[in-house]
Amino acid sequence: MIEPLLLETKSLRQLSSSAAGSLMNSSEELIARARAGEAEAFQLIFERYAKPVLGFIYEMTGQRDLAEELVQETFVRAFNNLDRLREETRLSSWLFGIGRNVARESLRSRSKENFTNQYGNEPTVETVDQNSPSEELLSKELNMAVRKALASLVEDQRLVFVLKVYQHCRYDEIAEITGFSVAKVKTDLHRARAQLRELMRPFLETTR
Amino acid sequence: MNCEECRLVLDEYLDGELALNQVAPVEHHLANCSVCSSELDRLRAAQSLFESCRPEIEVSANLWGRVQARLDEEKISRPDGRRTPAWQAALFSAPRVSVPLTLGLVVAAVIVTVLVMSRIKSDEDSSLAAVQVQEVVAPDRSTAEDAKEQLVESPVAKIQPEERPAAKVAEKVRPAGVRRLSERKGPEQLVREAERKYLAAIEILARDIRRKPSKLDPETRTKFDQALASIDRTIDATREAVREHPADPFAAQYMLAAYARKVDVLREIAGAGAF
Repeated sequence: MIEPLLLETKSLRQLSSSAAGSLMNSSEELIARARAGEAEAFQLIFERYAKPVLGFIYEMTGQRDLAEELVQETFVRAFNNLDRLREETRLSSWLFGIGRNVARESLRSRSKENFTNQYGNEPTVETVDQNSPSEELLSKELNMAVRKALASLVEDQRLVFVLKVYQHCRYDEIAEITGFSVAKVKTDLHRARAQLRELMRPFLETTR
Repeated sequence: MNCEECRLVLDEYLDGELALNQVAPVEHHLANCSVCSSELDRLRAAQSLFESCRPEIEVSANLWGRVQARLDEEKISRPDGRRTPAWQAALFSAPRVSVPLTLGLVVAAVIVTVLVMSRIKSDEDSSLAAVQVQEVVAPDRSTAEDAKEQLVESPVAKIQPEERPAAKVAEKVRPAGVRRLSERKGPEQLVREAERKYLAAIEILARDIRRKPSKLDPETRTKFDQALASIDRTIDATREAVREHPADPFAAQYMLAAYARKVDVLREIAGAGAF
C-alpha cells in the first residue's frame, strides 16, 4: 500500500501543479489513491464509469431497476477486488467485465420469457422529432421492436452487439471483457446483426 | 477482391477495424460493385437505426450512497465470512465515537484541514501576499510567479514567518492591508495545527484501546495491526515529504489523509473491542 503513495509523493514534487492536477484524475492515479484508502478516489471512479456501466447492464437486462441493482453489485465487487486489477489502464474493460459477469449471473436466474416481457415494458426512448401522433406511435413501435429484437438474441450475441454498437468498444476490448476470442466476437457480432436486420426488416424498409 | 471476399470483411470495414492493408482493396471493390456497395448501405442503415434507439439512462442520484451502504454492510459481515481488509473497512465505516473529546479533536482537525485546503487553493491571495512581501524586501523580484517560486523553492520557506529576517524587515514597512493578510495563519501553520489535533486524537484513542479488554479474534487483530503498520509507514513517508517540501499542497493533503485514516481505523478498533 505504501509503495504507490511514495511514488506519487515523489513524482508530484517534480511536477508542476497543473500537470499534477491532470495526473491526479487519471484512472491509474485514482486506482492508486483508492487502494491507498481514499474514499473520494473510488467515488470519482464510480462517477466516471457508473453511467456507461449502467447503460451496458441495462441493455443486457432490459430492466432499469435491476440494472441499477447490478451496477451497485458491480462497483462493490470492483472495490473489493481493486488489488486484483493488474493493468490500471484497462479499468474500463475491467469494470465492464465485472458488470458482464454480474448481469450474466442475474440473467441466468431469470427465465428468458420473463426477461423479454420486462424488456418490452420499459419506457421507450424518443428517437425522432414528434411532429405528429403517427410519428410518435412509429417511434414507440420502433423502440419496442428494437428492444424485443435485442432480447431475442442469444446472450453471447447480445453481449457483443451491445458492447460494439452501444458502447463503441473495439473488438479486442470486447474480447477482453467477455473472455471470448476476437474471432468469436466477430462471428457473434455478424450473426447478431444479421438476425436483428431480419427482425427489423419492416422498419428498415420503411426508413430506406 | 471478389464479392465473397468483400462481404466477409464488410462488418469490420463498417466498424473501422479492418486491417489497414485491406482497406484499399475493399474500397476499390465497393467503388466498382453496386451489389456490395448496396449491402454496405443496408448495413449502415441498420446500424444507424439501432444506434438511434440506444436508451439514454441517467444514474440515480442515490446510487453512490447505495454502493457505500453495501460496502458498509459487507464490512460488518461478508457472505464468505471473510472481513474486508481493515483499511477498506475504515474507509467506508460509519462514524463511531470512542470518546467525545476524540470526536471534538477530529472535527477540529477536519475543519483545520478544510481551511488548509481552501487556503492552498486561494493562489491569488498567496501570490499577492508573496509579491507584496517581495516588493518590499527584494524589489528586483517583480512578478507573482517569481515570488511564488521563491517561496516554494527557497529554504527560507521552511522557517516560520516570524523567524525570517526578511519578514521582520518587511513587517516594519508593510502597508496595513498586507500586514492583515500576512497575520492570518499560513497553510504550513494550519497543516501543523491539523497534525497536532490528529496526533492528540490518535493518542486518546490508543489509550482508550489499551484500557479495554480485547474482543477481537486473532485474525482480525492481525489485519488491524497490518493496516495500522501500513498507515504508520504512510504517515512517516508523507511527514518527511511535508517537512522537505512544506509548500507542496499534495504532500500535506496526503499526510492529513493518512492521519485521518489512522483515526478512522483506531475508532473502528475501539468500536469493535480493544486488542
